[in-house]
Amino acid sequence: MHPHPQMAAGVAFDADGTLWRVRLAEGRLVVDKSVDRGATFSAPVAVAAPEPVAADGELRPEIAVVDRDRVYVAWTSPIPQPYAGHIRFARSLDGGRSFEAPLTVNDNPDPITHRFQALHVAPDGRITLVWIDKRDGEQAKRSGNTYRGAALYYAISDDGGASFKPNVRFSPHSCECCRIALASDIDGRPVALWRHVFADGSRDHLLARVAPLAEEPPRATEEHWQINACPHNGPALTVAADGNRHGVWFAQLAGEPGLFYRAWAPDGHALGPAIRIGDASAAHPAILAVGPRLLLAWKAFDGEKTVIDVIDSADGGRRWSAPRAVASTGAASDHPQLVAWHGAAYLSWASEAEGYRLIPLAADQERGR
Amino acid sequence: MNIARRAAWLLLLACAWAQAAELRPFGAGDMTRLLAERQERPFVLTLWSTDCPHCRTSLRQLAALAKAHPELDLVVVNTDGPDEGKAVAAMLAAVGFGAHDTWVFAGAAPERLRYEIDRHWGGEMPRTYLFESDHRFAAFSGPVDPAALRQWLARNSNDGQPQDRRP
Repeated sequence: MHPHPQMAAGVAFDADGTLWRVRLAEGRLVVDKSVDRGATFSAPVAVAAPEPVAADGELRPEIAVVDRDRVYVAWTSPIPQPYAGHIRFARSLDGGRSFEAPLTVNDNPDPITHRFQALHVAPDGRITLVWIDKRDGEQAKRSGNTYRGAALYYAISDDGGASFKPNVRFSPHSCECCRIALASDIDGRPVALWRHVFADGSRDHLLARVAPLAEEPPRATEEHWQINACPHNGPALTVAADGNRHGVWFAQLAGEPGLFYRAWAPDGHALGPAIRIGDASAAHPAILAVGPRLLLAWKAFDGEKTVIDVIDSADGGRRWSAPRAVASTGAASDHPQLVAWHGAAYLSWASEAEGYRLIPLAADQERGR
Repeated sequence: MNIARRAAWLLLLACAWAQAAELRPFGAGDMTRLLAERQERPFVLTLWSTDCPHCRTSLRQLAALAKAHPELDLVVVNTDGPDEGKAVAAMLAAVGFGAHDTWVFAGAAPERLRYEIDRHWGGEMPRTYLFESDHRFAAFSGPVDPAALRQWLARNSNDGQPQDRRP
């Protein structure tokens, strides 16, 4: 896992603008909430009996709040075997005062990779969990075959998280160690962007709605990054009101690492070439459509400090503002998250020295530089 | 990684741990010191994480190389942080590393340490550098290219002859 305290927090606004947060506190997974935009938080409530929880930047617990009273939490619980874990889900039906006993969502119980969970809740209440799963690779190994990468599996709950349906294979041959980006399509269903291992050994991305893939879709990203290693650097995705998908991801091109941005039409065809974002230190991005605006945040290192840079676009990603540093730290930190409520966007970020911060990203400030 | 996982690793690999080399904290400025201590000397630097399935393959490759070339100056740096010391030591012992120069990221933001090592490194792992005696280097994400390794050994091993043709 990644260095330093496990400070990665999952956050979400509810319909009233209360910010909900899930994180590790003294080794336990807890939920608390803030009615004053992150200045103060309620007393934390434990989600489950103590168990291992992955809470670093690339693999964080997640939270969603529906109808004010229903709080859903998902996380990966590592087990002693290397790279192994289980996908866990717990819900509260009383506004986060108490949580029901957690469920294990992966129906393959083997002590193998089931991790990097991504949680999505649709407006109709359907809950989708997608994760990286090595059951197919283990099966291949038992048959004396090799298997490229891992696979994406998912499970759906149509009963408000009381239970999950059987696991479904979404896409074979995913990268083993990068988070999956999920966003809501304009019909409320989840769309995913994830790093794939192509037959030629490159690790570019695929983009698809969450449903079993009959065949490998065309590459959504095209750096053709040949790497037989763990990037530990997953993408981010958002869907704008017109249905266009906007993604940002990490890759290496011509020997230079960094971030790339691109938009795709609802049918998946690219709306233009990928453009570089930030410098060679840019990594771990977040992107969010907020009304007509697009906001993009990432982590950079300026030689002294870790900085969160933000840019915005008012024209669907064709032109972007100059980067502005909205927060920094000299110590270890979480990866940036973007959240919004009623058109107001915020950076959600935790750092070892400064603690948790919710930083407003006002439109007029963004025009400043 | 969490306490339970660390504890389990410790139990599973207690014997391996007992034989493991001492881990030194790798902090701000240590890359400069490391280079200064090796002036006009070739060496290999590898970076890895316990969470990276590809790292185990690479560590095995380098452990075999070290065994075939005891004179090799091999610096092994784990990026997981001091809390992971036991898991790190256990993994190193499990892949066959003896008393090598082994370090673990500590005391500074990982972004800083990566920047000091190589600002063109995006943090993917494993990451290995073959340093020439003038400290020019070739960098590899993933396993080191065997041909490049053979050529580096031919230039830099004591007898000028690569002894291990299956790195």
